[in-house]
Amino acid sequence: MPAAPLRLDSIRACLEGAVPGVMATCALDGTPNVTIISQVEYVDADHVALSFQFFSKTRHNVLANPMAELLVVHPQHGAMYRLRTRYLRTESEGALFERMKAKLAGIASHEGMAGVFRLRGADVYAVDRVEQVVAPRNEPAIGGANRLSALRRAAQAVAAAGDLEGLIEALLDALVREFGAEHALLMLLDAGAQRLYTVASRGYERSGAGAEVALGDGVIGTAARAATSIRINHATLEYRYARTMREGVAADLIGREIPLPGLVDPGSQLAVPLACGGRVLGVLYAESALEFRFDWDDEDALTALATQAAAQLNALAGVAAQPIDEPADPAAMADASAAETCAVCAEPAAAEPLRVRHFAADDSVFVDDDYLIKGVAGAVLWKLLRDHAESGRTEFSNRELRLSPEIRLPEVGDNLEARLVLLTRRLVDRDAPLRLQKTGRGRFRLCVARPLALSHVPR
Amino acid sequence: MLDLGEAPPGAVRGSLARCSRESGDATLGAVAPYTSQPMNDDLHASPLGADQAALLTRPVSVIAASCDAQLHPHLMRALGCRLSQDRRQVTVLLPLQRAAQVLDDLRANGRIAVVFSEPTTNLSLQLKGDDAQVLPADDADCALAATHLERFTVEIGELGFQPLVAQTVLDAEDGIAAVRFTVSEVYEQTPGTRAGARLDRS
Repeated sequence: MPAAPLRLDSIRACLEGAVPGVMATCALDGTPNVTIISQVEYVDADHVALSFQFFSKTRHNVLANPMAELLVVHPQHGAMYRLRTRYLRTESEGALFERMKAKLAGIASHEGMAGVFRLRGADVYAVDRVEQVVAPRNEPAIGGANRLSALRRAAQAVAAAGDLEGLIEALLDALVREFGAEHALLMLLDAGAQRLYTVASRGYERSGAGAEVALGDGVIGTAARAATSIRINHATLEYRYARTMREGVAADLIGREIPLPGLVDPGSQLAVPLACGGRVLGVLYAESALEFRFDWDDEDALTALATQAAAQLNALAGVAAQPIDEPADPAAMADASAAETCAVCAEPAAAEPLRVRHFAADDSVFVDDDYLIKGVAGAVLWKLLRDHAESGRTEFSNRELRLSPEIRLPEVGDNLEARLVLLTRRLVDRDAPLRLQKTGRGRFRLCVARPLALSHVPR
Repeated sequence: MLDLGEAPPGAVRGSLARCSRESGDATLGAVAPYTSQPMNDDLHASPLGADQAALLTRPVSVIAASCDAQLHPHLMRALGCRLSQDRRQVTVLLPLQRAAQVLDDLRANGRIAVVFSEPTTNLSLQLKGDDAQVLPADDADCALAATHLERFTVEIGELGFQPLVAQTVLDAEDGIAAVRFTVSEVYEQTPGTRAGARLDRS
């Protein structure tokens, strides 16, 4: 009895590298060739990609005769599937290549082949037919949450966010609540500096706000640069993003790095770009100590969620940049006075001055000789502290910061609100005797419990 | 989340009792008794070295491939394999139904490629021949398939796979065919810089 035609979508569990695939090709003289395939990557319902690592007989064959037949096996119940395919082309750069390269690094580490497996290209094959060759005997019940339902709830929760901070919180909360993420963080892109900076996280001791990753660095940096989701199912040294100090770091940077939060040896990593209008705005990242923690359904759902968040992020940035005539809002004023006292305000005022140093060269700010923050966030904090020292001001608005000449936002798209969010969290992380507290829409309060001794180091 | 599941109750089932084999079926062609040919050992030493041959005696993945007249390749995972004393001839056991296309190709042109790969070490070898014959499996072949299943279950068990996986992949219920060929080419297939290197002496 002929097997019913299937699509690749139904057998994605077989395409995780858990059981190696096997592949046959045929030379022009009719000689068969058979090989083991470490990675059969799902591209879409009609295409797979195989890793081109070595100049092999397989490659020689398909360049002359594109026909190839593969067998893949389900790692849980051993059902076997046959794929009839045709070689189309090889991609040696771009999104698919970067995805496969990262995933292969995980597979290599897992098989003790780190340093041996090296991706030269992604060989794309059209899948003409998928057939079940051996049916599963005891198909285990599919456990776990339905990812589509989870996405629905997550999307609705995120869509309800009315401002940036709300969006960030809703996104990370949804990741934890709907997808069970044990560790997650959100980074946004500073396009001018070609670096991503952490705004918030879940599941780590410190939020890591302000910690940075260069574009192209590790799983997160690669996902951002290639604008593609990257998922690794095994622990691998090559893509461990939680590296703080790299060798040869410039002397002036020492002491000015905020360590990235992160597992030392994550078993699974998933980095999903937030992209909108052809631009990458940031990366949503989740990791786990367990291997094979995330599957294709997780990746699909989180990519869809991140895409929605990116669109909202984009819209919020556009709204924030518009000058709005905000009428005096009694509700907002009420918020300001009723806002709960922050940790710093609750402490008895101390007499000892708080030493704050600001370096014009990189806008870095040191509080009592401890490095706090730099860049736009540093410039913001310095302005707030100067205003407070001069006039005792504590209430500020986002709009006035945006208009202030001292805070040089790199480009029109760049996110002032995001820097405020990260600064707020960074102050908490450092247990600094300073806090920012949101008092209303586009408004916040600077909390300082000690007199300030400010010093500025010019360029 | 992809998890490899709970172990099902019960031991690995041996398949000797269920091993059904084709006999007297005309489609298999003439039944050729397996007899030793008189050999001039010195002149016709096997292209397969002793060390390489050892791989075939371990619980390895065995996959056989063939091509048809339209140059379409076909392949199937084998149920076991054995080597003649002089290491010149390899016999692979193929599941009758799901290897049907491979068997058709072999009857048509005799050209075969077989890869042997050890799951726990990735040590791999590919052998080729052009005189493959499809033969009925005998009792010894059925016993070999049963033994291979047991050993393979243990081998991939070390990698975290449940017995169900080997039982399903190496299911022999639909019958077994024995395919015998003379080794003419030997290739290194272990991943690494030497992958693809030809190893036979000729």
